[in-house]
Amino acid sequence: MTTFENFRVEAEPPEYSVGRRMIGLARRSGTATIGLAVVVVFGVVALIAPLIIPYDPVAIFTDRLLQPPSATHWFGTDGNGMDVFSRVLYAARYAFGVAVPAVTISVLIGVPLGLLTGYRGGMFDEVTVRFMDSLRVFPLIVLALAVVAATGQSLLNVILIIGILDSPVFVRLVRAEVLQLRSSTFVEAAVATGNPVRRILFVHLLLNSTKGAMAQVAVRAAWAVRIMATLAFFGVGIEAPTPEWGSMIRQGAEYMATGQWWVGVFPGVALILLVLGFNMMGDGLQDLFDPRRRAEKR
Amino acid sequence: MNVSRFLVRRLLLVVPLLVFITFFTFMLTRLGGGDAAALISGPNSTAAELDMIRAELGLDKSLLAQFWIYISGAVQGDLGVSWVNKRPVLTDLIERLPITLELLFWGVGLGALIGIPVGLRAARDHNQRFDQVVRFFSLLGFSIPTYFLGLVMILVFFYFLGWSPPAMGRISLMITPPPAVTNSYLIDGLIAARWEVVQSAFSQLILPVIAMAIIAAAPIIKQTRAIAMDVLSSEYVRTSEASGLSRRVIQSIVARNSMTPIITFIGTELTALIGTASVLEFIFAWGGMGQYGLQAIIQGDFSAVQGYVLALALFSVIVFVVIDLVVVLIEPRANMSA
Amino acid sequence: MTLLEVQNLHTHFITRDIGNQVQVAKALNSVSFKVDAGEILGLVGETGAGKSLTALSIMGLLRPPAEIVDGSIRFEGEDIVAMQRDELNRIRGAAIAMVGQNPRGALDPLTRIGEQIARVARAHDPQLSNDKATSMAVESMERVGIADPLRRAQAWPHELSGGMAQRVLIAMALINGPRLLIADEPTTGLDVTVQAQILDLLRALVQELNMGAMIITHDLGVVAQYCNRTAVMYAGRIVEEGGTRSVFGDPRHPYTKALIGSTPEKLDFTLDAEVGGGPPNLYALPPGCHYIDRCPKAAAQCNSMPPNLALSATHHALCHFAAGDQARAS
Repeated sequence: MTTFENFRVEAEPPEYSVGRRMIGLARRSGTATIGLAVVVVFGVVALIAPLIIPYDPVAIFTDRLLQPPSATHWFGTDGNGMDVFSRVLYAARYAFGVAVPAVTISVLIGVPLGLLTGYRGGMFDEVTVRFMDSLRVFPLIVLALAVVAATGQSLLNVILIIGILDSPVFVRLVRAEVLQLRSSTFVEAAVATGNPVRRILFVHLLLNSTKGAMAQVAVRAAWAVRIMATLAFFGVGIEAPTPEWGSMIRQGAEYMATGQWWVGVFPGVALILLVLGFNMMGDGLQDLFDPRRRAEKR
Repeated sequence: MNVSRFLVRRLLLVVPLLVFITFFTFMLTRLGGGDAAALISGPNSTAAELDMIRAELGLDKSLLAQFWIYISGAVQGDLGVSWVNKRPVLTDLIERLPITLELLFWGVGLGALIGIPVGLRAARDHNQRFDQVVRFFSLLGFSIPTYFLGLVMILVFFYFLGWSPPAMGRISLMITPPPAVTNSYLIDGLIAARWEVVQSAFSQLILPVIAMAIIAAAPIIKQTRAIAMDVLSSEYVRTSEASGLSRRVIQSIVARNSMTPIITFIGTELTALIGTASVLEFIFAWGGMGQYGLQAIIQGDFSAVQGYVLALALFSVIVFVVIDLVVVLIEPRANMSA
Repeated sequence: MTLLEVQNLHTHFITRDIGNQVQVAKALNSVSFKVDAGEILGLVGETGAGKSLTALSIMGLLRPPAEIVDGSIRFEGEDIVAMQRDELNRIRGAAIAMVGQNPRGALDPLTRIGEQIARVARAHDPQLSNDKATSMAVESMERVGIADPLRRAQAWPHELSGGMAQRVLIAMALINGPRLLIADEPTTGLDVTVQAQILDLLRALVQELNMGAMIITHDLGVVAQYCNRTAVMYAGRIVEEGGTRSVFGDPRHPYTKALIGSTPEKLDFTLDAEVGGGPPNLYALPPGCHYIDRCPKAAAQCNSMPPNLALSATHHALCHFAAGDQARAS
């Protein structure tokens, strides 16, 4: 059944395989395609960065401090005499190296917890939801900064904390879908025919309720990249002179008012591009998984 | 039911949340088992010195006892002393809070002023050119890091164009600040009737306020669009169309019916936006609570961090209650006993 | 006098699906009917048959992805389909008015009901003063049987019962003296006693004001009791149309027979009592008769488009076998 605002058309157009949908989506949604392309390009750069960068990202050229972009240093050099171009490319590794595991952690915590709270209900659900709601009074950026600062400076900490702090997004999504599904006929039928609870949870609900969560993955990756850079900008978790965008922007910050813009602007633009890429891709993914949004578009 | 009773009830509901918040902020700095004493005394201190500092800070007691000390102090307005500037945290926070609120107020105000009409129009013309452009810019707004936006604005408007004063605080260094009344130089300057103060404070405000507005506008546009789309597909808008009401009248019906959820959204969004304001303060050397707090985090000034995080949470809680109140006052349907 | 004449109306939902293929849900397929002044036409059919969509097409309320792809809708001779929004706004709410289902949801929650009704009056007469519009609203409320209309005009929509809200909507529909009234499921969701009150009111108003009316419902009882003529819809087509007495007394389309057979009070009729199965897939309609998959009498020729057989001057049915079972035997 497809709903068009207040109408219902009591039929469904044909369903496609995921691959077919992807192709269709690419043809239809320019935003999503561009987003995906940007993310893929950055991903490839991250993979082969050591092979393509002209200089070691932490090599110091003491005789070439703060040089503007030139043929030898495309993006110029920073205050330490390091090659900004090499560092910007190399930093893609940190972006993916943090975002991918962090989002994986969010999903691994959020999806099961969402399933359990949604299916079980009762005290456990109440406490989890209350706890998550209470955390909403803190700005996430500040929370992430404070927690990482308190637990110690390490990349692993950064990944863990981004993953944990963002998991409520998935808990809420999955829980809401489970609550809706739980009252649906097919789960009732499964219970009535005597399927054990665990089986119901994992076979029936997992597949059905994680669609919405999947649609969010790219948007959450965008958030993870952003927050990691923010942490690095404040020198929390990732310290200079690590070739990481946030950390490089921090180095560039002091030169902004004196005109050596290339130190901070190039890493900033790279950061925005990747985050925007993920966000655009996320927009498309939401179309892909959400039939209501699908119908709205033409 | 009158407003004051509604407020009292609302505030009572908030008490358990406050206890949780306090506990959470307390735990925040104890989480990783980082040794505060070692941070304060520096790397070359002896074991005896460390013990002394621990005793002084009460770090030798059990966690529960420490929490008790903290919370009983907090209730009496004692949030401890900053280890960096040796001043009571509460005094610093109170002094700096208005400075942050000023930035937040103008920034979010401007963001809403732009974001709400744009979102409404995008909903009306949805999937048309205007909507598509707006959607892209809203995505871009979600993707720009606050600090980078601030820095680029300084680069462009101060360094390249020379339109704005250096980003060094809330007033030109050449001008002696007016007597502190509200701690907003703009208002204090007006009170003291010193035109040059007002002018300087205003020109210092422009860049951070615009940056704040850009960051705030993206989610406001997105949410306003979604809310207005919902209203547009409602039965009463269809009735209005069927009754031959003009596009203009219908648009005003949509706007009015969207307002309550939009206000509620902006209220909940303020939690995140005060974090954004903190970051901008840091970039523009603003000297408010945000800069104070972020510096405390970077320097490991734990009492100050606790006080700052607690203040942010309290701010959100107060905003939530105020929003509830506003909704009750403007919505004919809302019932105060709810 | 013919007020409304719908001819060959095709309304389709045209979407691009996730595989980037254009998908067309053929919701209305050649709908034709007329409404005369002073008569009530009942449009019946199951959910998804296209009844409401017909009303929305007439009112110009379709939104993408729904659009009229063919056909004409003439109101007093003027083609509505071709009209721009401004022209349409002169007619709707004035000459044609609609009362929807879900009356409580149909009122703007943030405007007092008197003002909501007055707003409709002002929309069609810019010269109207606020006071005059308000007194018109109160008058209109009085006419639909709202007690103490002056005080009620100050009420908020959420303070009204469903039945009261429906009266308010009728008052709103009548304020500019419409010549055609379309009521889309006007009584669903209301108490049974209130249902009768509202329908009695509608009938009385139609007679009093010599309006034409169209009542959309899935309740055969309502049609039998209140409508002069009946049109039965199935999968976007009108499959049978005629005087109510004629259609109910001598239904010729198997679907009409099944519908009448399925109402409890008629169970003793010797008609096909089952309405088994569901409506056809609007994305892939059968080429001939849309009812073919559910019809107990389906035969090979049903794969071709059935003729609209005239059984009398006013009674038609869209079926190869509508003339009688003999036709099939031959």
